[in-house]
Amino acid sequence: MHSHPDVEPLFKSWIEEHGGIIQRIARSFAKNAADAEDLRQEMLLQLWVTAPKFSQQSKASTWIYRISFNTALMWHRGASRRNRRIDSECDLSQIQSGGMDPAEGVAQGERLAQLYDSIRTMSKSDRTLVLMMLDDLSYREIAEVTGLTENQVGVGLTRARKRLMEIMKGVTNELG
Amino acid sequence: MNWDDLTTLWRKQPQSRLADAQFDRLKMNFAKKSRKLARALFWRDIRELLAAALLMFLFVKDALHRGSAGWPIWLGIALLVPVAGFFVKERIRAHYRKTAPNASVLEKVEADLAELRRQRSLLQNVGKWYLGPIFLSWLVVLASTHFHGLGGILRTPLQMSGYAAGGVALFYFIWKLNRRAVRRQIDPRISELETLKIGLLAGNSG
Repeated sequence: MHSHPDVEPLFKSWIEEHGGIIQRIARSFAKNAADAEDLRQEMLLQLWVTAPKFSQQSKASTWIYRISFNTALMWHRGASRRNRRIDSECDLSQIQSGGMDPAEGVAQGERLAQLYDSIRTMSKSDRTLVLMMLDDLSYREIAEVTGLTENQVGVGLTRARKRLMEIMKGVTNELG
Repeated sequence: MNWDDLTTLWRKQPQSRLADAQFDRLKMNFAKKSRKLARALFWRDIRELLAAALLMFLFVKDALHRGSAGWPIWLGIALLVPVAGFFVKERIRAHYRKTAPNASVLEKVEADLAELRRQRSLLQNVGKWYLGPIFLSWLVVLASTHFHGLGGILRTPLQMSGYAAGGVALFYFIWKLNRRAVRRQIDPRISELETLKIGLLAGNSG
């Protein structure tokens, strides 16, 4: 795994500008923090490995979505940890949040956790679409990432969004 | 909660990174393994150097004992000198290679990666710079022993062939051991450090 000379600055700029994408996708596909960190590492690794193939003609975010989704869809819980664990003695499960008022942070964290739980119950294709929709990608960009036509994206998004709202409604009702 | 609330909630979520305590542990483990690598290389160089010195001492003694007939032994010694010199050079190199104590973890990881890749290349080419010269040296001494009638148990061609075959098998075994070390020790460690480097580049403070 030798690095291309231009890969490092490119990779760094990706992480600085689009690091959140990886984090959000990881959390939407993994059931707990440890697995999310595991998947995040796997996605970073895939981005690193595939970076030399990146063509400047396409948008970096589109590339990152594509690689990250592909990795997440192929990922099996624990598989990458067995193969590529950074260090056997290091527990990567604890992820901390950025600075925020503690009370507000807790409430928001709970709502966010519900949202992620709901997203995780969706089918993988709906999940992929809804994540990009929440990230405010255009139909065209989503089509580029998924390989669908813009029409198919539109139909899929309407369905996925409706499904997510139903699940969220159910969760809220259950909680009282 | 409507769709707009969801998107607002989604976009306000904080970025996460490895907890500092966890990352400190990761760094500590890296430092521990890094020291282990340096120690392993140090003792390897010393061991090999002592073995070469011992072999040369025995050959010199034998060459002096044989007098004018001992010239092939001197040739064998000459073949061993670069091997011993290589390990001396390795020690000098290791002394100057040390990263500054205040270097970032990323710099240290990169230094270890460079060193491991170098060791990988050395082990993969061990036949050229290590086993080859030693084998030739051994062959020269063996042949001279035989042709000068000093062979003891190596007097007959059959004895000689058996001895040579044993030697070849031993050198092949050592060569295989080096290849195995690359596969089982060096490659996994390189992969581990690459992953750590990616993690560092991905935003965890070094």
